[in-house]
Amino acid sequence: MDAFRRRRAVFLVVVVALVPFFGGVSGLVKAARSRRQQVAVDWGSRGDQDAAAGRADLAAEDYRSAREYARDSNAYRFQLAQALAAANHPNEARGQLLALWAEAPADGVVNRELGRLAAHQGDTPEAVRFYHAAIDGAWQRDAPASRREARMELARYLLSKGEATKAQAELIALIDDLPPDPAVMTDTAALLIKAGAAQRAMVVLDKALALGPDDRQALQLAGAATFALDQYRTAVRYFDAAAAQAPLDADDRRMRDLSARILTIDPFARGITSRERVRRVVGAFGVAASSLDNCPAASSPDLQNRVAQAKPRITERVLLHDADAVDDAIALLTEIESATAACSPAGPDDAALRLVLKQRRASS
Amino acid sequence: MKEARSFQITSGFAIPEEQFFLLVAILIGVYSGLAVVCFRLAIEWLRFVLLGSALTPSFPRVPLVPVAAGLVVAALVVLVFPAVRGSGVNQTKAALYIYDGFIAFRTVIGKFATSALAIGSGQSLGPEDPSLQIGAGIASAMGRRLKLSRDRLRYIAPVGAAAGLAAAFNSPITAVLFVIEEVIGRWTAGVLGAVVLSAVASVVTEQWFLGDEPLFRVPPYHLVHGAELIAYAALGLLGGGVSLVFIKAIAALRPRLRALPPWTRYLQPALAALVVGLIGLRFPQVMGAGYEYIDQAMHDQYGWRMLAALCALKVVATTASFVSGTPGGLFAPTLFIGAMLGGAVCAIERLIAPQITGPIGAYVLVGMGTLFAGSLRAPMTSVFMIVEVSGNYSIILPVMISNTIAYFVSRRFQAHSLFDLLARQDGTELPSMEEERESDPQSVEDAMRPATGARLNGDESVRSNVERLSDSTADYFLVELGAGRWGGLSRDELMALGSSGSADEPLRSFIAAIEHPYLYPDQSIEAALRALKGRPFVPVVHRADRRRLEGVLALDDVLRAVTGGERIG
Repeated sequence: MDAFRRRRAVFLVVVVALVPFFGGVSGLVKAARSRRQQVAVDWGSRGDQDAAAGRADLAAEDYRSAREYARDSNAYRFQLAQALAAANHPNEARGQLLALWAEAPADGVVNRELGRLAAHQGDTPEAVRFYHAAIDGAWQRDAPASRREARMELARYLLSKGEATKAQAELIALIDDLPPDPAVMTDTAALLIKAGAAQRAMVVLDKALALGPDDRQALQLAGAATFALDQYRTAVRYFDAAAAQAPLDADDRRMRDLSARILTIDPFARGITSRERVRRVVGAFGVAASSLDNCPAASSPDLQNRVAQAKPRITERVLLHDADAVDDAIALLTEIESATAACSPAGPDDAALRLVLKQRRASS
Repeated sequence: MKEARSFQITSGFAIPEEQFFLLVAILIGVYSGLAVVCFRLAIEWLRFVLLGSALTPSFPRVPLVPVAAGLVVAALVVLVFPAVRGSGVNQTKAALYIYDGFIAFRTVIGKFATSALAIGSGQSLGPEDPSLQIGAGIASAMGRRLKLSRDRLRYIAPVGAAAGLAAAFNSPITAVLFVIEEVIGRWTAGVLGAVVLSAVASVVTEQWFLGDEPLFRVPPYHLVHGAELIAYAALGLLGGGVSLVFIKAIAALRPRLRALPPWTRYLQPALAALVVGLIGLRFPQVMGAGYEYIDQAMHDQYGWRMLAALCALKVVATTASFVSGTPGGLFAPTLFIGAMLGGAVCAIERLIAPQITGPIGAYVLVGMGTLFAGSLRAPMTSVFMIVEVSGNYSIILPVMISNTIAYFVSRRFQAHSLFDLLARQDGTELPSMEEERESDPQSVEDAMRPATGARLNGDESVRSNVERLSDSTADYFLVELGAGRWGGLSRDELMALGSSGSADEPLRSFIAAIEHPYLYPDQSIEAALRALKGRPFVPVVHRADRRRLEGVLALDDVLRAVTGGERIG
């Protein structure tokens, strides 16, 4: 009987002793957890400092340590991935991001980072896949803006890869949902122009200019868009409006001058007198002949002979009285410009003339 | 010790010993879970204090701290806790098969302290084997205090071992399988229930405190291409090879170090720590258990050169740590080596055939199982461990391929598993579970003889059966009673019936009451011996048709089969 009692007593002790044991272990775990959290925060801060100072490798090590003490924290893993990417360890960064992706495949931020990595590695299909997942994904802060940014980022990447049509498709999807923010609109328009969608860019820029008629950036882009659309008079107007606020950059200046030059030399312009048209044809012929002289590779003896024979007849006096001679002169002019297309323009007039003839060909 | 058959709760209410054992198993699980939580916290704290909080410890902390800790560990092992040397698995087996479940509680304390210090200071060892032994020790102490019966007490150590291992791995299935496969060696219902309960209780307790986060965050797995299985087969071959190197290195070095003068035992752990520390200066990943680096390998943080280097260096570091007598386990290092090998195979495959290469995490996982199968030679556990750890059933195909190949490569070139080898080196003859699994136990079929000449018909009269006896010299006869039943009687009994006035009665009317037990050809010799008790022979019948007599079995047949192994019929 004593044996039974003793056994029961031991059993009770074993059961009751669990209470203090549980309490003690709870205390230890709590203390360990608190220390771990503090250490993680310390390493995370170090990582932030190193990342800010451009020491990406060190930052990666710091975030790795931080993550070890806060294994639940996806934030440290994400920062680690960013640091690894910055330290030019794309595979490692990708591994960390894929771990995050496995937990939240619809996370916009993670997908965007994966898209960036794939883009960095030149893997276009994967970049497009992840960027699209980011665009369709969940974002914790300002989802519309984040999605738009991701799409624009994708468009920029596609443009850098020469995929203008695909970039255009991404950008066109943006147009209807653009917020009434001139900055966003001009960014989108700039990309649309690069993607060769000047018409759609103008739609966006019209909206931007309606919100801020003096928006210099929008005016410049409108100039570029209208220049691309061969609307040289409008282009000059936009460029001049932009230049009124601050000097144009070299590229815009070039386009503005070219547009202005086209307006003065275009023999096909509407609303000009016959005399003026003849004067422009004669001037254009002179420019073309000079271009031919400067492009020996393109000048066949036959063409040179014909130009030499035509030259004495292409004068204002002759052309004013002979409409057929004007047409012949223009035909020869076009032939010369086609022949010299391989050579760079001999000067601004030559460049302007080429654009005029290109526009003429397109319209006919 | 008086065996208690029940546990009395009140004067009028008691629960049977069997149920009480299950209750104790749950308590063992809870206590083991708590102990393992403390053990893990101790390792973490010691690592933090000794090596700092950075993942990459700095010079001169490395190698000075591991060496100093090695000296302390050596002193503790030699002077205070000599029993903590060696494998916890084997000590648990010794408790089961030799010491009636006894493991000194002092060993538990010693294992806890010395292993925590060794692993926390960066020795290349793991916490699972000590956890297993801590669980077994707690169970042993509890069983003794509660005065369990001898039978129960013997099995209490494996119950605790399962609890300790389950908490260490956070994987109850793996722990149960390992203990059954490697320690107990058979699926006994009573013990299995206790093992499962303790493992589950332990994991629940551990998760209560440390959360249910798995050991690894495993990336999603899918087989990219069928040809990928070739790479997994190659991983199996390589894993088998690396396992062999690992086992043979331990097999060769451990006895040599043990043969050195006793005073060198004070220095061996420190020298091993120096080796680990020197490697750790350039490759800190090899220090400690290394789970965080397995996680990194799983998430593609290393190139193939680094992975291959870590695989090789971990073999060196772990061999040095283990053969020096430093307490600690081989589970985690084995998994680490396999993980790095798997990662290296994947990274190389990715260079050669990127289109058919799956995610590296899968290779890392399979590599872990491969080394486990090749080194520890617990094939079932190795497969289910990976499935449990990954939570992904579809990975089972590459795991099975790779593990099986590694297992057979290892077996082909190394006769004994690591645990058996260690037991032999320690001079302990423990039963080898691998050999038991492989042994081909004799069955009734091996011993029985054809049933010719000893068969009577129960439907015929006693007289005609007596007449049939004239050609037989047998003393005992089987009687076919119809409907698949058999009886038996001796020559004397039959002759007595024949000379009585009932000679024209059917024989069955006299012997229906003395029906024989039957045996089936596939039954064990042990079952046959039980059936033969008090009988000259027993019919062996077909399982699908008991009227079909396959043979008869007598005690002589059993003895002949056991001693000579002669197959009759």
